[in-house]
Amino acid sequence: MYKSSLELVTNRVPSLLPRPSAEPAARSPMKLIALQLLLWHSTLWILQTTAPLALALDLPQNFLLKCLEQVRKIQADSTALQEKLVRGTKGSRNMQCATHRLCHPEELVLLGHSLGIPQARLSRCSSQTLQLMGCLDQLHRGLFLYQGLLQALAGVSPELAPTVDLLHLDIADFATNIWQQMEDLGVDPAVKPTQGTMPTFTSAFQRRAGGVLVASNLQSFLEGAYRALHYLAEA
Amino acid sequence: MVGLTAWSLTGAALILLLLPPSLEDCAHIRVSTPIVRLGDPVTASCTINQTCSSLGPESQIVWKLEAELQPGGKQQHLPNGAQESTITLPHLNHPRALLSCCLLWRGSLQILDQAELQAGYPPVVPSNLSCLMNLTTNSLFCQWEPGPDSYLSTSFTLKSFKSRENCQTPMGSIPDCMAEDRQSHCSIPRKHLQLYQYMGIWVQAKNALGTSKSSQLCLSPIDVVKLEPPTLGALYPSPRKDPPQPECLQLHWETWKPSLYMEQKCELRHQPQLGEAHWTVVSPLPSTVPGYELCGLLPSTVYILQIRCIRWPLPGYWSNWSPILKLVTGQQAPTVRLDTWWRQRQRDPRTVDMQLLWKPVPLQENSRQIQGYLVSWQPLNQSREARVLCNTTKLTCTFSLPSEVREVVLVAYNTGGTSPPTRVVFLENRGPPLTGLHTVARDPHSLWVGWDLPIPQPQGYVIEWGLGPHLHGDNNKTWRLEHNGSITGTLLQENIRPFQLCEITVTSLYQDAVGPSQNIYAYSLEMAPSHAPELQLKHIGSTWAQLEWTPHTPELGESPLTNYAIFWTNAQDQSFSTILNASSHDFVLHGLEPASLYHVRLMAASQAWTINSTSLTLITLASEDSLMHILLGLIGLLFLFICLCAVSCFCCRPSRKNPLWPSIPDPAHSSLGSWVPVIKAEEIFQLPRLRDPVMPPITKITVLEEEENKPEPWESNDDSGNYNLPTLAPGLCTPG
Repeated sequence: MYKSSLELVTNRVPSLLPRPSAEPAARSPMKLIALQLLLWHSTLWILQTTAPLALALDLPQNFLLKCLEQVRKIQADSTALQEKLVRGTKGSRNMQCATHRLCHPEELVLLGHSLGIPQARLSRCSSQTLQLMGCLDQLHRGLFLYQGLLQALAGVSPELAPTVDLLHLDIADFATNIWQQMEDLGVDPAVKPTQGTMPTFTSAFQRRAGGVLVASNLQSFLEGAYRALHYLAEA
Repeated sequence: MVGLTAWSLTGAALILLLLPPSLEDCAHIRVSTPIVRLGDPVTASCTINQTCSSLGPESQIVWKLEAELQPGGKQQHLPNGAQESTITLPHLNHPRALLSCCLLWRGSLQILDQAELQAGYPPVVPSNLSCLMNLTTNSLFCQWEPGPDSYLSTSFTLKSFKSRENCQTPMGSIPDCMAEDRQSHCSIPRKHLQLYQYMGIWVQAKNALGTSKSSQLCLSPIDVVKLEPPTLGALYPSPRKDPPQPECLQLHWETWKPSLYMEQKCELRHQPQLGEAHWTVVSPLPSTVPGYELCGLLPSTVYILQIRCIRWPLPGYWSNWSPILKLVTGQQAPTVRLDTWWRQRQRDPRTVDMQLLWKPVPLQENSRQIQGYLVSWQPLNQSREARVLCNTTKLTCTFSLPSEVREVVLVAYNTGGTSPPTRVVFLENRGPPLTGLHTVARDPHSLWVGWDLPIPQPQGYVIEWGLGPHLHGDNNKTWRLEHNGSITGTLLQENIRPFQLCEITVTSLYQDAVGPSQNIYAYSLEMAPSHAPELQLKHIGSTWAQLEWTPHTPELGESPLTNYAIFWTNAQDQSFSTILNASSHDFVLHGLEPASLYHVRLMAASQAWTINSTSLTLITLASEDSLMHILLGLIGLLFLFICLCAVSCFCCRPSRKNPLWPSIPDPAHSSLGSWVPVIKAEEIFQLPRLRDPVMPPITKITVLEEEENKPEPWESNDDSGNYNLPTLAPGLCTPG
């Protein structure tokens, strides 16, 4: 795939440059070397700038649009969960913050470590180091991870159950969509990922704090995913 | 009645007591197939066990379908002593029927067992399966058409499976969705769906006679999403901003919240509320707009607006149109040209009474929203404010001005502003006169007025017209300003009525003067006189009658008379006529039959009309021979009367002892005198011919003085004139 893209680019380059005359080149070998160097650098530059385009060409636009929509949908679900976790179902946000002091997820980082709440990575989805297949794999693994975390949160509270269930369904849909696309491209891993050990929430506080952390981590994960997918879709 | 009911109940109780125990056990129906296709045969057998021997060994088993006895049962004894009857119903034509096995027992039919038979058809293949993803209920709603009734209980199941594109390979099951009884729709809940994956869906219909499947749909649930429309509203401009343009509306709309995550496109449609306007659609529009200015609308118009959205660019279905929003566009300042004219009257040396007239001529469509007019005068001293002379909704205004003021300003206004000002300069009357003014009637309601083109050519003309001459004053005159100075005529179509004199005034307009007004009178259609001349009988004879009439003097608006025509008809309905000059005023009818009835009618005619006089009925005098016969008859009667009188005098003499009749008291001296009718001599006379039933009732009788007055040519030389006949049989005429 990359090869074909490269070929496409390198085939195109000569036509972009004026054809040098053979006679002057023979008279000035240094100039010829300089010209070759210039050609090599420009080829590299073109390759770098067109790499995302080549990546995007391999993914159907329809798939990318669906993925973006799914990310927005999960973000909306996650926001709803966060609001319910922080604000509760009855009182105002300020009052609940004052009651539970769980307004800021950044205050729960240590608790997250102690509970063993993992974070999904999207290192291969960065625009600088974007690797299409690696990014899709990370996206899928991340979504798979959050499915497990949401399952662990399932008993957090009866009031939150419908929101958690919906979020779980939407994440599962997104994960399936990405997996099928990987299958279509023939880059799906030989073995499907399996769920690791999930945290256990033993108290009401842990469940509340765990919920806030998972929702917050999920939002961060989705923001990264959205940026990557948007980048691919725009390309 | 009560006794009968009691006896029936008692009888039934006795029958139940007398029956062997548990009749149900002793008989049993078996049906080959309890549910068959409608019209198919059914075979049933009824077995009566040996335990029911008390019913008698030779009891006859009878079959009934509903209430009808069914012949054809074949009864036989079974080896175990039981009796069995078998029947085949060739065509079961009822969707549901009860088959009864009965027995004749002591004269009455006893039902021993029953079986319910059902008939119908296999289910028809359900059609038109369609699905919509409903984000409100978060479910995939599918509906279908079940087809005609199968007459059997039929269940519909929505079956589906998860798959990849084209739905060729099932990749996961989805629980069936059972439609409720008699429903042809079912909703698959979100928890069983993968919104972004393809799934195959079909409907299975099943009843006792078979199963059918609809064609399969292959869809991704989110691709069949049907959204709810956005909330459309008006955006009212803040007071700090400029007022909105009259042809624009400020709108905003908000996406339906559950669909916020979807990219959508929307379309807005609008149309004026009144009239038969068509929708104008504005598309594509974003799904959420904080403020949108919709322009290109008509000012001062009520608009109805609706919006709808669709998932886009990914697939989806259009939402329904939002509820109607009614908004009114702002008013536009009048964009009209004001044609003006004036009439002035010098009140005193210093003041002029001026009547200003104007007409708004719209320069744009729908620019006639005018609430009023302002006439103002700017005094020479510019520092002073303009003085408002009139503020009116009418198209005319009368005011007084100093004689030296020759200019006023007229504007039309509404809430949107004022029209461009129209300067009205009262020009001096010193232009050349208009010549050759003439009119031609086009039809009863229009007149063409023409003139010679003056030199120098005017800039335009003012034409005023109305009922004339000066019957209704200037206020009822219609006027028109013609801006083309090269025309030599114009068609007047307003305020023209047939048969009414129209006064037309044309004034030429020049750069800085007006010409003297020229008048002309005309009719669009001339009328007939209100009545024809009245026909009168002047003299009459036995074969002639002289008629006369007073000619009608034409009035204004009446076209001149061209001729008269006289028509007369005798009793045998024979008609005669003659045409006379318009100058005639009398005529003699010749060749009439003596003592005959005639109807005479005069018709006056012009080029435009004809009018008939009232009908005159006359009877000619009797001829001389007839008079002689009548006279001889009368003399004979007189002689006979004298004879009778003589005889009566002889018989009534008082010297006679026995008079021929008893003595009668003098009526003059008795009470009978008051009631005995007095017979006058003139009432005895009757003209038998006048009793002709065809003669019309006589309303007026003219007694001619004497026959001698007749004109010379028709003077009679006969001596019978001595009888002075005209006094006995006068000529009669009756205006009919």
